[in-house]
Amino acid sequence: MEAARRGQSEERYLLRLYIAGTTPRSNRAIVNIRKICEEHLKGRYELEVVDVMKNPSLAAGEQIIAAPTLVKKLPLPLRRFIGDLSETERILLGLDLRKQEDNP
Amino acid sequence: MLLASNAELRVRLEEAEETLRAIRSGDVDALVVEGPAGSQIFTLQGVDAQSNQFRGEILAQISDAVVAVDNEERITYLNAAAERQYGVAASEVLGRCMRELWTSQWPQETDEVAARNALRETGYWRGENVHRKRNGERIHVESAVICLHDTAGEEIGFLATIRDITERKDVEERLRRAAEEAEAASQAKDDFLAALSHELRTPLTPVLMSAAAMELDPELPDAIREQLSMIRRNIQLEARLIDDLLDLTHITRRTLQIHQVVVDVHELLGHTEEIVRSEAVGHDRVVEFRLEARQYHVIADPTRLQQVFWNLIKNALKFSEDGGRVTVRTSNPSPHRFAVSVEDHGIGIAQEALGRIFSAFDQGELKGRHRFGGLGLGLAISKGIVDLHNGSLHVESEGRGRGATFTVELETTAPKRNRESPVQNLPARTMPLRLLIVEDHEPTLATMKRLLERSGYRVCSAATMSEALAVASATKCDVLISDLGLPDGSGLDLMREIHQRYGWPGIALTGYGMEEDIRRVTESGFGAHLVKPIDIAQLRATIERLLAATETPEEVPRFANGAQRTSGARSGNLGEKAADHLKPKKRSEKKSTGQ
Repeated sequence: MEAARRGQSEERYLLRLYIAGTTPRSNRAIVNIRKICEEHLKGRYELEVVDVMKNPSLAAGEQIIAAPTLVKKLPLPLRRFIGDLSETERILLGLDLRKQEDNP
Repeated sequence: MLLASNAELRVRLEEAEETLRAIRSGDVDALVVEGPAGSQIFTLQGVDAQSNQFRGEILAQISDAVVAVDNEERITYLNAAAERQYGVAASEVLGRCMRELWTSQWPQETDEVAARNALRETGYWRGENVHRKRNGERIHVESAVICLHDTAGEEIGFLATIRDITERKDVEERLRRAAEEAEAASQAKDDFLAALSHELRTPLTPVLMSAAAMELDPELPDAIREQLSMIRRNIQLEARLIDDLLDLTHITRRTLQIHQVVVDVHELLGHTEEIVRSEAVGHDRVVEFRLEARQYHVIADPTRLQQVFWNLIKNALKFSEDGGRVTVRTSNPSPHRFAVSVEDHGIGIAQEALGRIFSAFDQGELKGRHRFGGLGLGLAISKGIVDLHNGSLHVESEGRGRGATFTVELETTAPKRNRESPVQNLPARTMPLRLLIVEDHEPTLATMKRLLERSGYRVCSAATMSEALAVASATKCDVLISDLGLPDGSGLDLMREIHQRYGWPGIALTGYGMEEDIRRVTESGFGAHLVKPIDIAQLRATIERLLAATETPEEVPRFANGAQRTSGARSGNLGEKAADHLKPKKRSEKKSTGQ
């Protein structure tokens, strides 16, 4: 696990979270993803929050069809996660922060 | 290559499936649909959506900042007011540690511990501290913090409502500073008045003493003695004006002290009558005394009470036409109530002016006030003194030109005559007394020395503390008479030294007349305290009384008290002495009140 981490340590993450207004779910989604980032990507991530209610056209370019949606723009490949992002393990896996064999 | 794209395809499919599943299970808030008119947003109403929205709107409308954090103090919620207060956007700081929004600054470290303890033990804390924002700005806040629990009752963080009270604190601080400055200014004014009165009074002492002594000199022609009497009266008048200013300062600051004893008011009014007769010289006005009360003893400070009566009579005379009559009447309006009314038939008081007649610096109407002279402080001082006696002072007038009646009402007490002052029956002395007078004002010192020597005393004098101590070590004296402010020290220290070394009694001379001085004077060992300008007869009486007290030790407590009474004696006492001088015969007929 240490080796895996070290291998990834140089990679910068660019994440974009699409939310729909100030709903509790949007709120939770922001809290959850920032918690994950602070724990696993401290100092090497950028999290951008976009409110589709205020700016619908921004969503179109990313082929977003629901909010909240988190998009991992970098490192490639692109990944999308729907919902309040409370299933931490699944998100870590999807962000390539956990190898399959790391799972207990 | 093929494998890789296969894997990618699988992930994409999974994502699509997941999206559908999320939408079906209500895990999303909104859908974005591409159409010919661009993107359209459809919000999805869940079961709780309405109540959530309602709550959200309330929190958004609240002007206080509302912030929720989890157990690791990561921000899980903040409302619009919190965004404004801390200059952040919710999306930037949600999930971040609370400390990134602000750091708390406590007046004391223990305050923070106390707050955390309260929160842990009671689930609630409310209080004030300072928040230092991310941009370095500090705001005073008042916070109410409660613990948050999940449905199982487990603590999941806390919710804080934070109100910015910086403005209020600033206003409070400004008010506090303004009050402090006002207090300091008022203190400075009082100190100035005290110092001014001292400076104004000091030069009066030698003049007054000389004039009073020469007035009594049978070798001088009557015409000159009359002139001297006029000089003395005018000096006393000036001293009284200075005293009024000091009294008013004490009354407004509530520092005027009264020394209450049982007073026979009829006897007191008898003395007042003497003063009136002597002062009303040159006025074609009659003061009639009708002492009709059956109960006429009250608990009061006789000097102060006399001052009130004198003020009221003086006022009545001032506002009477020539040939007018002023009636001083006593009565018992109800059992255990005693009243003194002073009635005149003079210019009267307009109805609208009755309410403010007792205010300082107000003589009813400003127009023509110069005609009547004076500072107009007498009524304000009288009212203050009567209030201190738990009595009442009120005025009636039927309007302009119809005269006025001022009435003082006090509670009566059982008569209890004070023992006569032993001044009256002093044993004849064989040896002349030796006095040590310490005074740095040369003319005052010279005059006192001359007058006291003429009265039969031997007098040693000194201008400084060191000189006085040198004289004391060489010559045995009977009484120390000292000014308080000496060039090389305080008269208080001198008294302590003299008292400790030789045990001589002492009389303090001061122009200050402040109550604090009087207390310090008695503490330092002075047996009596006289306010300048010093009347030589009064000084002589005090010397004799002091020696009588030291010769009969059991009398000492009474004389310590008597000394304070003397110190409080100012305008009233001066007036009484004036009467004494003018009518030496009358004095022997009348019984002394022991003043």
